[in-house]
Amino acid sequence: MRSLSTSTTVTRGLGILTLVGAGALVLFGLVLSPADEVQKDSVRLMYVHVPAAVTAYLAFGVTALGSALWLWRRTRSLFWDRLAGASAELGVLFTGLCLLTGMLWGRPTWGVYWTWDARLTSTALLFVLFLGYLALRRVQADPEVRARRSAIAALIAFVDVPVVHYAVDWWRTLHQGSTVSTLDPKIDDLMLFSLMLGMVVFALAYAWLVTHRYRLAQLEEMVDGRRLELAIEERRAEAELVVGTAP
Amino acid sequence: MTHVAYIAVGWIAVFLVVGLYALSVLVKGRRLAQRFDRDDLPWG
Repeated sequence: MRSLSTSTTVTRGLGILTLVGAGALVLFGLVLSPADEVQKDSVRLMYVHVPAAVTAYLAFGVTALGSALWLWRRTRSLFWDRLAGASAELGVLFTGLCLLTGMLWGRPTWGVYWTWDARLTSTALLFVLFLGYLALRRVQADPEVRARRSAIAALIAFVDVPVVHYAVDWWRTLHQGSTVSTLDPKIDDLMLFSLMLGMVVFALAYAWLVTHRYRLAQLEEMVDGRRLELAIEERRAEAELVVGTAP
Repeated sequence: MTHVAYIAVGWIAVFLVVGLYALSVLVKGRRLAQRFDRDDLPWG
């Protein structure tokens, strides 16, 4: 018999699929795909940098959707609040990785780790905004109150996502523009395949992690509920003892 | 650093950070799940 955990047959299958995909990504990204004519081998950072960015968009999109559905009376349920919180944590994780890999790619390509370019600055702002969102979620409050203020904060923070995405079109930036979002991508076939594989693998990792993080949030609430019940029982027992011993 | 070093640091950091995060979520989940009966777990 399996021990108790947040895993099920489906999540175990998803986890194995993610690991196999990660292995294939290493093979294609680091071995089989060719080096770039201009950027040489440093282009291989693209296969983790771009998927991290896209997965962060996905995670924050789910957070915004969950927040909006929580705020809408018809669909109000703590399910949406938990999903929003779990997804935001992953969004912050992938945004952090996007910033880190971007800096490591920027140094050999641009000559600097960091520049206050519109894309980089708006991404750093997104990271900080959702860190603040996660901090807000940790403030002790009634679950409904916490869910409401977190949902409003998430929707405000999400406004930065399109700013990050279109920053390369709206302003003159050092960061390159879109390479694959056009119908005629300006990229080698094997490089394109490796990039798409990266996006699929990161999306699988996101789905796997968000499921486990959601279940962990459920468990944390169950533990809090149990603690509250225990505290109420103890107070009741104390009260009965006081009444019983009163002259 | 050489190009190879930047690539190595980037890729290792991604796998390490995601792996450690996954491990922490799984370990915390397992620890908390042990406090309940299987029937109490919504996915059990």
